[in-house]
Amino acid sequence: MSLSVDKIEALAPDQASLTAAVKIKQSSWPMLATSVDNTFVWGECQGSGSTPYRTCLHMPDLGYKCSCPSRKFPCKHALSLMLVLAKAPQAFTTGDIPDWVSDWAGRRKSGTPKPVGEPRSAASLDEAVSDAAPDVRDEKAEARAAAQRERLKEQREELILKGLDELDLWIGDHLARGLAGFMAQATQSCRTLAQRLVDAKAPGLASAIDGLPAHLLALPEPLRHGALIESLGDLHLLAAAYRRQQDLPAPLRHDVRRIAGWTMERQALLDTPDALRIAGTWLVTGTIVEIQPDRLRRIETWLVACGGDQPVNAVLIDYVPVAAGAGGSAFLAGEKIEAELVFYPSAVPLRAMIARHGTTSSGTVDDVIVSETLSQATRAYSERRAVLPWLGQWQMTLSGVSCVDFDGQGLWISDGRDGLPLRPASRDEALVLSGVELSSVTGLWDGRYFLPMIANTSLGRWTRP
Amino acid sequence: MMERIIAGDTSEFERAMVLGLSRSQGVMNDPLTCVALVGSRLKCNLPRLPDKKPVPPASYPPEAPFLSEQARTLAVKLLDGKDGQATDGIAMAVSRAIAAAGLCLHPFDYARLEGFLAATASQRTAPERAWLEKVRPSREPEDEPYADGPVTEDMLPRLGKSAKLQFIRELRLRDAAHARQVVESLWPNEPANLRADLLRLLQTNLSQADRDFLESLSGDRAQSVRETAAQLLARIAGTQAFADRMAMLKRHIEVASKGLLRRTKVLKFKGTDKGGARRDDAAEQRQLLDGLRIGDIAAALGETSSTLLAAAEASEEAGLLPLLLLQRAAAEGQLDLVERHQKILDGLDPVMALGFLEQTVMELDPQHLDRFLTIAIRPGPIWTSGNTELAQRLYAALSQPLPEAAAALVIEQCGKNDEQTDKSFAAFLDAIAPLVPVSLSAAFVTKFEQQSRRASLYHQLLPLLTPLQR
Repeated sequence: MSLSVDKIEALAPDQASLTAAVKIKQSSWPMLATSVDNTFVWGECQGSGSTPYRTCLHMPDLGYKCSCPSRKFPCKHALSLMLVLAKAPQAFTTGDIPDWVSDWAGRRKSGTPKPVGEPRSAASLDEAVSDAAPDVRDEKAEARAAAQRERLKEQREELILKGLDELDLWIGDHLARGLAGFMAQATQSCRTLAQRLVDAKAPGLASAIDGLPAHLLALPEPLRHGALIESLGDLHLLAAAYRRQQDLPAPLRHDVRRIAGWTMERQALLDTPDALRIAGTWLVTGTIVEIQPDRLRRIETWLVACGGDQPVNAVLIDYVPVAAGAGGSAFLAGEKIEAELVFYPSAVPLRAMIARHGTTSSGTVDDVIVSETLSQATRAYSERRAVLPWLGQWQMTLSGVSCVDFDGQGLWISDGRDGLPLRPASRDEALVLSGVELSSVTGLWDGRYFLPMIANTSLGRWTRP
Repeated sequence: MMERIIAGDTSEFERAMVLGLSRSQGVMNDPLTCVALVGSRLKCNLPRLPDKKPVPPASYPPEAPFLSEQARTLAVKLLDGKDGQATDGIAMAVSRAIAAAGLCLHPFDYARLEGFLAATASQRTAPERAWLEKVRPSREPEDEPYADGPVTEDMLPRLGKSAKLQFIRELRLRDAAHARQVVESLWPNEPANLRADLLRLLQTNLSQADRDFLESLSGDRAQSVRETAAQLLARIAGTQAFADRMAMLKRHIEVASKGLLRRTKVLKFKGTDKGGARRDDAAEQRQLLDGLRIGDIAAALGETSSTLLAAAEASEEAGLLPLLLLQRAAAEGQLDLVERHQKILDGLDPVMALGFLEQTVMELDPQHLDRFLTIAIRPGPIWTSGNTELAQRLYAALSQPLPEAAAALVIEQCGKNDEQTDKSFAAFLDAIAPLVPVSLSAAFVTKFEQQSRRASLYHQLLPLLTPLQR
């Protein structure tokens, strides 16, 4: 991955970290090195203490690690190392990856065996929380652990099923009472149910219920009841599907379990032999950052494949604690990346992670993205929702459309016959699109609103602020 | 609908399959199932386009003089970055530099720079303001109509307060009599507060020619106007009020001699005692000399302007008096005198130094500005004071960078004092940065890049905004 100052600024959690990083002079780094294949970069930064801080970067995904005690992520040392790399790459020597870097890399990928025979340091927090394999394999212990995992899984399944019964009861109660009064008690009612679903080990559902009032209140009042029916319908549909998951096709079963709250480890996905993998050039169309009720910052990076004969979309999703600062995506809208993506199993594959990363470059308006007409795109969306009823946002690249301002009724992306209303909150940023010719516009459609992310126009490339 | 979904429409069948429904199964009696099917179907309905006619779009011609790509990136960082600011001195300086270069913001940056557009609306181009008007339709009441292009006399009655004041201020410097005539023409239709403000502008290049107009205002219905007119009349030689001021001046300022041979003249100030409490000398001195000409003051004390300033320079216990006299000379454009007696400015307290610069700049004819600043910007504690507010006020009074020689001295002198934190020094540099012209941008960045990222970003942007007028 190439590093630009802009990208480093985007990664910085705040201005103070960036300023502090700039102040670390290159001479404070007595040792700077990269691996032969440029995958890892590391250095030792002389701070105020007697021992230098050890900082390393994993270039493909800009992962970082520093031995300093900072609570900022990335810390000033990691940012400084990136800045030195961006501005003076000649300062780095090429060398063998030191043990502390390979240890860290090993811990990042769970399941990577650690070197045998090295004593574990009781004082190392990193070691204590790592899920690395034990140094000495104990088959009996492993069997016991596997049986314990299986028991816990069965217990969780039972709890989730009970939680789903509560969910259905809750939906039924609200329907019996009538939905007109739902909003008045939505916050308290949803919070109570969400807490029960957390207890029932269904955090995905709990999060969806907890966020329901905010989702509804964000909509104009006339749309709220329709949206409420949709949401309750989706939830019941999910509860019904979860109970019948053995009868569902495998990809759909994965979706149902994922939405309920089961997670798939990164390494497990990489190890899945039949996971969908697509290698090629991807254009970063934009990033969306949202803070979840559980104080995690959800960072979505949306990608679209360049070239090909049909549109291929992907989204990378990262979660960062809010306390770690306002760091953003490692990618900037408009960048092109060479990468192999591996998709999470789904009836409509969309969420992916980077399995192999090549170069990153600045995109141009000439990058070829396969576009569709408005009617093709909306028909395709309906077909996908039929396959995956819980499909939220879907990325569309539209051509033959323009942005039209219907005063009082917002902006619309229209082909003259049909149209998609733009999300009201994006009106100000997208208003200029109504004054330019659009060659194509890529954005997210959630069935109600379109959120433009990137557009090729007569004035050049527009990206969402 | 349910039956149709389940039995008829094959594209919907998979949804029913999730629920385990068969085509023959009736579902109408199960409200949960109904909601699930109807709910998940709703999002597939395409919304209807509004029937009403679209608003005509704004036009953004591709050939417009937009900022370059590099300048756009830097401008967004400065004005909308992680800690970007849209309303400080640097933002105002960026706005002026863009306007001076005849450039305009790229429309795709409007949303990112909304705060900046709002803060600098009067300097923005018509498309920029049109966009702002659309996204912020409920403007605050103090906002005013703007003029597109240069303001002319004909447009004046339709414009807002600040545009009127700015026009008269500039006209008064160029053509004092004409400016007074324009004020007289505006007079009947303006509210009292604006009439008083317009009147205050006449203190620049005040002369006997203004006397009749000022005397005619003694019967104005607004007290603020009557008081302002009386203050101005007291500055015009030949009026009774002027004679009274000169008499008071002689009572309070004495030219004395000192030294063994009593050959060195010095000034002594005799303050007034009011009810046992001594008044603040500085305030009293300021009031005593406010708006008077150096020649008139000197004549009242039996001296020439030059001998009076020489006495001021030699005075050690005259308080603010020497500085105020130097300011009167500078405000009249007598810069040879100021240069000869610039020693008065040495070692000044930062607040006094800034007050002198600020007041003089506001009164001075712009053609004398560069020379005055080159003389008056001197080494001193002001540049290491870390007093951000003072530096901001100086830029606000100037509205442009310093001349090159003066700015070079500022760069050389500017430094961190022992009590300052890195953060407060960075803020001080941010306030100083707009005072440095583009010709010294490189020198500024070289010296201060490590201390203030924002200030150095500004000076990286400035050379990209060409052709830039200082």
